[in-house]
Amino acid sequence: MDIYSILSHPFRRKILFLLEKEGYIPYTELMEKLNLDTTGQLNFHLKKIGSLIGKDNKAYFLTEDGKRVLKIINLNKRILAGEFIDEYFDSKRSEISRVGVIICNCNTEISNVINIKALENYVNKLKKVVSVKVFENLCQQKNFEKIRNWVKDNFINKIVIAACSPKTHQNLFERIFEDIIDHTNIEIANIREQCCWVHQPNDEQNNLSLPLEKGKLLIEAAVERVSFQKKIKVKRVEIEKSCAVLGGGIAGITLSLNLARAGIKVYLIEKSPTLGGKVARWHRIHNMGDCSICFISELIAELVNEKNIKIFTNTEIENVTGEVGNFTINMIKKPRYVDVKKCTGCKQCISVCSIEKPNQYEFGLSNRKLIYIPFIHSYPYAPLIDEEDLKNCLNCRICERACINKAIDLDQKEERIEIKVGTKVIAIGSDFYKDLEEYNYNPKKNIITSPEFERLLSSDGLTDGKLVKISDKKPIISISIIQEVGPSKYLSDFSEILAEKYIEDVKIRNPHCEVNVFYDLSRLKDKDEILLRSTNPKFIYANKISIKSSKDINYVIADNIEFQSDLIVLNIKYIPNEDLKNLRQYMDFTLDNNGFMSVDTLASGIYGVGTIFGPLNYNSTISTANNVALKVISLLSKDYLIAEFTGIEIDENKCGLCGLCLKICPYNAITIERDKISIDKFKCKGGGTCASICPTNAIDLNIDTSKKILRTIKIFSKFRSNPKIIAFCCASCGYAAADNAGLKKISYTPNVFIVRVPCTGRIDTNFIIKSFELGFDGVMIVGCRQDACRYIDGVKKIENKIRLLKNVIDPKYKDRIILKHLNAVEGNKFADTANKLYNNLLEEIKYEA
Amino acid sequence: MKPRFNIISLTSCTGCISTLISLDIFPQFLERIKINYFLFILDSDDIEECEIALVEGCISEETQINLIRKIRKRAKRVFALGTCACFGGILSLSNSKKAEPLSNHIEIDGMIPGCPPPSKFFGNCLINLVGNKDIILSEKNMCANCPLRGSIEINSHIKITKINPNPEEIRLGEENSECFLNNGILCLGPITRDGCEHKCIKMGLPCEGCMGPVSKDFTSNVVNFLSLIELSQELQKYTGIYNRFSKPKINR
Repeated sequence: MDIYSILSHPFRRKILFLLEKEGYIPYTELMEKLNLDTTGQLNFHLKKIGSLIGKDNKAYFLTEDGKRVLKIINLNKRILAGEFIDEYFDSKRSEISRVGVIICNCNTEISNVINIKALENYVNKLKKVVSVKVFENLCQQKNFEKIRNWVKDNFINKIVIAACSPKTHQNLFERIFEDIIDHTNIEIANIREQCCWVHQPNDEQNNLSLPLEKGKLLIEAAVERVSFQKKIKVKRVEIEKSCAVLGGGIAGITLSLNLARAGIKVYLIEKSPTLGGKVARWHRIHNMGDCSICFISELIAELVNEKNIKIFTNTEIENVTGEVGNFTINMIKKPRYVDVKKCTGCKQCISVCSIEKPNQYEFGLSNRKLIYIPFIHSYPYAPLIDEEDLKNCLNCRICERACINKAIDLDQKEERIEIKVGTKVIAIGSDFYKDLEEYNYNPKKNIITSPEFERLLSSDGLTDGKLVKISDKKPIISISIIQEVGPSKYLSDFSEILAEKYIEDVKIRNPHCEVNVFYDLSRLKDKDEILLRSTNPKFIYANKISIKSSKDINYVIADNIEFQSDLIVLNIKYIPNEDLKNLRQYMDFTLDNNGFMSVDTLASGIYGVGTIFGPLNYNSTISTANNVALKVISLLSKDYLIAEFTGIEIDENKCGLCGLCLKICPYNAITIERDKISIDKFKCKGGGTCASICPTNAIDLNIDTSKKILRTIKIFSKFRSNPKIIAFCCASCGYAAADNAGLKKISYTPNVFIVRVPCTGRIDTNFIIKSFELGFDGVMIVGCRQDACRYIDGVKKIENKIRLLKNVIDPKYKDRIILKHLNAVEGNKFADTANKLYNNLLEEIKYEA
Repeated sequence: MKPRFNIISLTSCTGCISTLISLDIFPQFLERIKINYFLFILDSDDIEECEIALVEGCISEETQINLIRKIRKRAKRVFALGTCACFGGILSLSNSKKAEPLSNHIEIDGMIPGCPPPSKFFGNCLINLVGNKDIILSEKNMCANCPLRGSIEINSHIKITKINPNPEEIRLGEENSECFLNNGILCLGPITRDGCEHKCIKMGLPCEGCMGPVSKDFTSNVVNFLSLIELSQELQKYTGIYNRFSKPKINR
């Protein structure tokens, strides 16, 4: 039968239009819609248009042929109506949810604990689910083709993957479905880390039906969530083929060179007036013959010759906006008061300057003039005056006159620079430990730190490399080195090789000089670790080390034994860079327990390298720099990225312009001007604190919507066993801690249900109240540690809410809301907290009954 | 046929009923409807079937639960009248008494909030009800049309020291020009539904929140709101703010 005769009957056309409008219609509904009482007529017509429609076990739908025919009919209609046709209907842009569920057995990890068949049957019965498929091992390459075909055959446009944590394979899944399903329509039900691995069957108590039920609910909630997901606008971001490197130390320099040689434009931004960082001031690097400054100078020379690198010294970052592929960085170049282009480096100006101050590049051991060159291998090699020193300047302007090239300009103003880059790398390094009072630190009395000792050994340093006392310039015959001076929370990565290097260096200068290296075990947290790691017989391990000075002679007292020392070197540790806290305002990352940058939490398009992650030796720094260079190159090798805005959406019909969101947004991304609210999508990071406090629900996140979260709570509340606990976990720390408990297979009660929120600040008080209302007995909120929140102060915000909420509720509920700060590896603490709360609630419930 | 009305009072001050009776349009309203049950103006033995039931007051006793179930059964549509019926109302401040809104026990078709409902809004609601339409509530908060709303600054810090302005400081109408929150007076306008014509604010008093929340529940809105602002020492201990018109639904 030809297509025209099929379509000649208005009834059949009506069926087709209905199917197009509704997508999938069950038989009975079709009858209702067509106002039919008998099945015969409908059956007849359905048979006639058989080639244009298909049927699965639940409903009728249009086949590809049917869609094509309808497209033609619709186009005809529009053309006849005189409309100008310029766009065609995109079949992928369907508004109907066809949810498919994949269950991955993860090589029997799942079926060891729960009955997969039962799980599959349950999910298959869910109303919103079209089809369920079970795989032995989903992440195997051989399955990818199968899954894609299954998705196409079933017209699935939303998918739930019940498998491992999203942290493990989410990227892989997004890639598999790249061109058939939007990645916001992929939801992962974490049945491995949150269910199977933490509720392993053991002999005593575990009721096996509970993990199964939990698994069912986890999947059901994911199905609900994904079916609520609306289309998110995507945009194409052209990648700016350039990279900003913050920090001109050894890490920054190595990285810049690597990138520039790969053809990438690099902006090397350094806060201080010279490149070189800390290593430039070291005497020598362990296991390398050359002195470090020669090494650095060579690198700098290469750097300067590289056309692709633009160097900004004395420059600070003011603001960063944009997203991966297209960042805008605003910088302030501080005045140097010397024109680097005109200066020849003759140092005339320095010799005529009459004011001296301690030289920070020699750690204050020697003095410098107000106008100065940091050190002899500085780049750029030209004098400068620090901006803050200008107030001490006598304004005699003798230097101006002394300069024959007229390079000095005391009226120079700061310069604002804007650059556009595709990605940025933070390489600002770390600081030195400063709190040295208990060691009687005093360079003038020969108690110095390791960086100062480096300057002492260095040929361009204070004593020209000679081993003499600072106090009276007499030769040194005994040196004591005290290791691991600084916070006891972590160990320095390289203190041992540093000590060995010092011994070597000292012995070269004076073979008879006695060198003792001390470890103070009372100050080390992990005593065992250091004892195991170190087998060096040259070192002295004492339970208590103290320093005593009497009559200009210093003693190191190690467990009551006195060691007379001409020089005491405090081998100090690195501590987190102070600038990290400022940087967090415009770059997404969190801090770890020790205050260093946490590597897992860097947002896309931002990388870190070097000692910002913690103490790192020279070789490791270089290798991480090379590693990051590869990542940057692979990112910038693409021409464009498809980016989608994940953040908030504002419904202006509901917004009352009360401005509460303006007060809570840590990034100042929302503005109200002339009775109009608007959001800066570049500034918004999607933390959702504004959505949590919006009194009219005008603001909502476009992925983690309140509706999804409330629905998830509702579904979890169906769990049969009491007491039930709901755990709101922030995506970066809390959720990761729960995953960590899974990885370590630390068993906890199955009555805990985890709801992922982008940040604990996202948690609305309403979620907590609603949870109790729906029958949960306890609420756990697991967020990042103070100062480690990815959204700056989300933990503070939820803390405030909980404090106030506890004012209101019945006293017996006060202990049932728990706020916990964990980091990503504290799975054991997560399990402990859950179990403890569970046991408490169990007692209370018994008591009540 | 005229729509039949049942108008019932539960635990309340009958302020809402008084407002109803004193509405300008009340005589016309009476002409267009048939009153089945309204004890204030008519003796009735039992609650008969009707099209619309208006229920005023909160549920504070067990017997009332059965009563409203009966009302629900015999009415096509049930509307909560006044803040007490909608959210629990002023009785929520009591420690010992129960004060539950109707929606805790029955399904309601709409609500007319306010303590008492502002007359213009109330009148419009009645007209809609008689015409068999739904009640339209604003989806915005009080700030949207607030006469005191000025420009909003990012990072402005709010410190609250008072719940009400001192009597001698109350300014009326035009004289009053600055947002209460900026003056350290707690105004619940941001978390309260618009629609009351800002009567209190025009009389120099901050919003108490009687129109109820726009979304979520009263308690969580108050907690969310207060978490953003700094309260003075004495106010931190004052829990009345949280329970002013609704008890937290946390107790099962």
